[in-house]
Amino acid sequence: MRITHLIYREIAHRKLVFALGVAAITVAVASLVAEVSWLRLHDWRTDQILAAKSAETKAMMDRLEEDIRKITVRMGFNMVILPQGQTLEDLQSEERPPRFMPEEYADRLSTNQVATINHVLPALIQRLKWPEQQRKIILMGVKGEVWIQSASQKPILESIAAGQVVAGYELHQSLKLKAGQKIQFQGRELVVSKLLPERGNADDVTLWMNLGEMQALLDCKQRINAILALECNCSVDRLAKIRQEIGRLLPDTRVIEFASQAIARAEARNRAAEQASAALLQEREHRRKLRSEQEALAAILIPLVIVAAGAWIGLLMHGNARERRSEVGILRALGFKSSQVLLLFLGKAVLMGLVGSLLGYALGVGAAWLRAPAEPGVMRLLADPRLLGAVVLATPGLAVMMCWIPALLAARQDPATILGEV
Amino acid sequence: MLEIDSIAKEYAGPAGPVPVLREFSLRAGPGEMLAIQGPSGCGKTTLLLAAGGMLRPDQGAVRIQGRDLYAMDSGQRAGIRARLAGFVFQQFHLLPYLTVLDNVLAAGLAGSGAGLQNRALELIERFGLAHRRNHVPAQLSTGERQRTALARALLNQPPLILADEPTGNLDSENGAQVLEFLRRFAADGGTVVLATHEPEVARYASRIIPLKSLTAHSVPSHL
Ligand SMILES: Nc1ncnc2c1ncn2[C@@H]1O[C@H](COP(=O)(O)OP(=O)(O)OP(=O)(O)O)[C@@H](O)[C@H]1O
Ligand SMILES: [Mg+2]
Repeated sequence: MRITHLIYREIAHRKLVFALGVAAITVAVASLVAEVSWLRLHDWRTDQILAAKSAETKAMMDRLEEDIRKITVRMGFNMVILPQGQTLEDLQSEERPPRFMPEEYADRLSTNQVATINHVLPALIQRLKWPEQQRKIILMGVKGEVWIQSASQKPILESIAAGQVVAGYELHQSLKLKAGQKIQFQGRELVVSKLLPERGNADDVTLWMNLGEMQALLDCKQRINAILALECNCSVDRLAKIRQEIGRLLPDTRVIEFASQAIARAEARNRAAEQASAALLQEREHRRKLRSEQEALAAILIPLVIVAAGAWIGLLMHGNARERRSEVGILRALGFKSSQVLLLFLGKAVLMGLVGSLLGYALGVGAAWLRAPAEPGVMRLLADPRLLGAVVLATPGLAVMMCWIPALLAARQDPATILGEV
Repeated sequence: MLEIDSIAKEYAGPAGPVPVLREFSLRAGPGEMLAIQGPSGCGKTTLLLAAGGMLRPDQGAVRIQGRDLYAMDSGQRAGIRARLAGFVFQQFHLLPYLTVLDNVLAAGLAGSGAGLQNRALELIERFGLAHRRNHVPAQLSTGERQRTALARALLNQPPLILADEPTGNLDSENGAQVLEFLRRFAADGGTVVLATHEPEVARYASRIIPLKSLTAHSVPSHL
């Protein structure tokens, strides 16, 4: 026979004491485990919600970004830099004498990165008569973009080789131009390299040619009268700064931003981004608050439950020790050492702790599980072997602590005085 | 084997101390069976408990195999009880939740003998308890409990048996059987000290030591 047998038999003999002890431990452990599990579930849910929200935000931002890209690509540039005193209308009027700025300004703009300007297109724009066709057109000389950002960016306007022209929609429709067709312009022979689709603006009556060629044609070498640019992140409040910077860099110029959809969209996007991040922050704060409320409650409740359970077990074991006075006396009379008697009591406490912690763990996880969403992974999250291990190790230890004093008192008793024999 | 050297014991009563033992001495060697005989309340149980290292006398010394029980610490005394002295209590003191077999074996937890299971079964057999071996004390007759207590006292093969009224609850046939067993135990070299108020029981002993009550009011002998 082993001492454990004695422990089992005694437990079986006084089932109620054991059951009450186990019940107290079970309740304490269950509330602890449920709380820990609940917090875990909460964190898990928080991560889920925040991840979903930021994914949603990212999707929305991507959508807006794509919108902006489409708009800007369709519309072209959203900013134009003109010589001082010039207006956009002047570019397309014959009356005002043309003003110019050095072509080198475009390079200057591109080499001194200003804000997020990333497409720079030096241009010469003039409304004039196409003598051979007897009609007015807008002639635009471009040399291709001056790159600021990576070369992987798609140019908004491709450069046009010397000897070629690109015709706007209205022009090629009314003049029945075909791609590859040779045309005469002020006595030069040029080839139509491309026909543009309808854009519904001045582009439709524009003929594009190589900048150098147009400069030669109009006798204004190295000079341009517009720099078209794309500012990617422009919002109204940044324009003043951009303007100031450009003013410093390119003297005698003015900056005109197209009242563009792009700006509106960009602003909308920026606003949406702000709102989304504010919402995310708010949600995070909300979740944090919920958690800290739960934690605060637990911080009071759990120690209370544990102390109550501990006191209850101490009391139970004290009663048990009193009840077992004669039994202890018998064992001592048989020659049991105090340590063996102590072992009987503490062994019982360990068993109580073990059974109680296992039941409590199961109950706690079960309770958390009832509150958990029916999603895969939840059970894996809740059934944490480390928590089980900690509970199963710590609880019997605590139970032993609570039983220590009654057990020690019982073990110390003198065999004869307990027996009531004399 | 057992030496009791002028021990004294008094209990605290409601009207001052109650003297029970005074200047009491005895010696019991191997092969001896001593009977402490006296009326109820004269201090037989007190004496046996003191002899068994369970009750510290106010004075004097108790030695088993030359070792002074009350000069050692309680752990060592427990060791002596486990190995050297088997005690049969007047009220048996069996553990209520253990079967006969387990009650007998419980004594083995204190000692460190080998082959206890077989020895326990053998003792149970010898005391006619084989058919009751899986019964708990509540399911036993008084005589069966007494024999279980005796079997338990013998499990660790102690050289000394201290038996308090070992036949007090037995019919004459069963009583005679137990006493015969104790006599044989002594004849085999053991030492037996038993307490009884019955002269017929005392007659089995090799030596009778009368114990007189120290208090004036003795109990009528017919009780
Ligand atoms: N704990 C105690 N406190 C006070 N008096 C006690 C105590 N235990 C025993 N006594 C008294 O000591 C005396 C001796 O008791 P003890 O039990 O040794 O007698 P006994 O000879 O065994 O009697 P019995 O034959 O009835 O068993 C009795 O008078 C009893 O009342
Ligand atoms: Mg007695």
